[in-house]
Amino acid sequence: MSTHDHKLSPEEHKRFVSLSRHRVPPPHLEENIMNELRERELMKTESQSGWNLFSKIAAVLVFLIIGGVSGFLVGKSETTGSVPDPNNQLYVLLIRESPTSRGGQDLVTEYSQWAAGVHNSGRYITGEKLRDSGRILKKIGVSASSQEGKQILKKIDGSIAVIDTLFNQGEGELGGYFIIEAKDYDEAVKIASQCPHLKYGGTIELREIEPT
Amino acid sequence: MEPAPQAQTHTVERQLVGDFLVARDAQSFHQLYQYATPYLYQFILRLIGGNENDAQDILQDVWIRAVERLAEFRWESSLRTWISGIAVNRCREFFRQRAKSQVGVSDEEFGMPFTVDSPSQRIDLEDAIARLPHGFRAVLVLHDIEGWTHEEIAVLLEIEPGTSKSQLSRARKAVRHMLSED
Repeated sequence: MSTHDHKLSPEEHKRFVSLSRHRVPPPHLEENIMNELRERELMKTESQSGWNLFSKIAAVLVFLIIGGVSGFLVGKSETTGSVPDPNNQLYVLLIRESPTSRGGQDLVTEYSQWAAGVHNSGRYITGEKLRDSGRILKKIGVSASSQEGKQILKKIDGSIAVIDTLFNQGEGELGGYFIIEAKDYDEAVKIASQCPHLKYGGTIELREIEPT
Repeated sequence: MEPAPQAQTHTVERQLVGDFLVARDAQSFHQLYQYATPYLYQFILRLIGGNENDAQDILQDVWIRAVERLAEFRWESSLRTWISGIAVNRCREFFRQRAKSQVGVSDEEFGMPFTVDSPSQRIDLEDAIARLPHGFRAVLVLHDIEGWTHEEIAVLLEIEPGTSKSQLSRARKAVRHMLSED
């Protein structure tokens, strides 16, 4: 190497940048890291993969709706709670996630019990989980700065930008919804306030569905 | 093989991160891990001077921290640059912890003078870098191997850009000395 100054000569620069840039650690390290991430609940366990909280709750709801829990319906019409009563209103509960609203099996059980309770009271209830990824459509020229960092520009169709987005990156993101039946807003609030989502730090936006 | 263009690299990184944040399963983590780890492991090894056991412990911590913060990552830099920053900070903690546990051993903090003994045997460039005090080694690795600017190094290492420049100059001088044949 040159010794007359402290700047790199072209030859020295070449030697530095030609040093190896990759080295593979022992294979067991990846599994160790995954186990640590699972312990910290930063990664799903194998049993959780592909079968998350809302998927389980949605399955419970489907089970209720098709009458799979007929034992819960003792003394009631088989269709009570399975279809909305036209004399009542429908309300949507928009379930907004927060980091602390993610829970384990206990939370699933509580959701299931709550949904079963609403169903058994003769009120219609259904619900779905929304996928964490989706697309936002924006007219070209409208600022998307509020979503910056979450978005990948997928394609531009005419004057509309279609943007792939992840919705699971923070508090308040929409994670799913329930639709319930109630005779008025007060009863809807009463039903929604018993949803265990609130207990675990999540928020619920309650909106009446306008009759068509 | 030539490195992918920057935009293409960012697209790949966003896809990998996006897939993991959605699924958080073993498969998506495996893809992300396989993409970043070979670079990251070599980077950590250089920063700490070549001890593989220490590098593996640090690598594990870096991945835990990265996944903890991944959802907050705003893509103001590439994923590789961002995770390198986490690695540099973890390596600095490693040296601070080691200094505390070794009474009487110099912390070799930034700005402290150092001397290099005359080489007793032929060593290669990698060995010479490994023998530098860790603060000087970090500046040299980041600047001369990884291509960071002095301003970027200064922010990451919490030093002045001028300090980064002077330490780089002295690190290069030391490396030349170690590689000299006299």
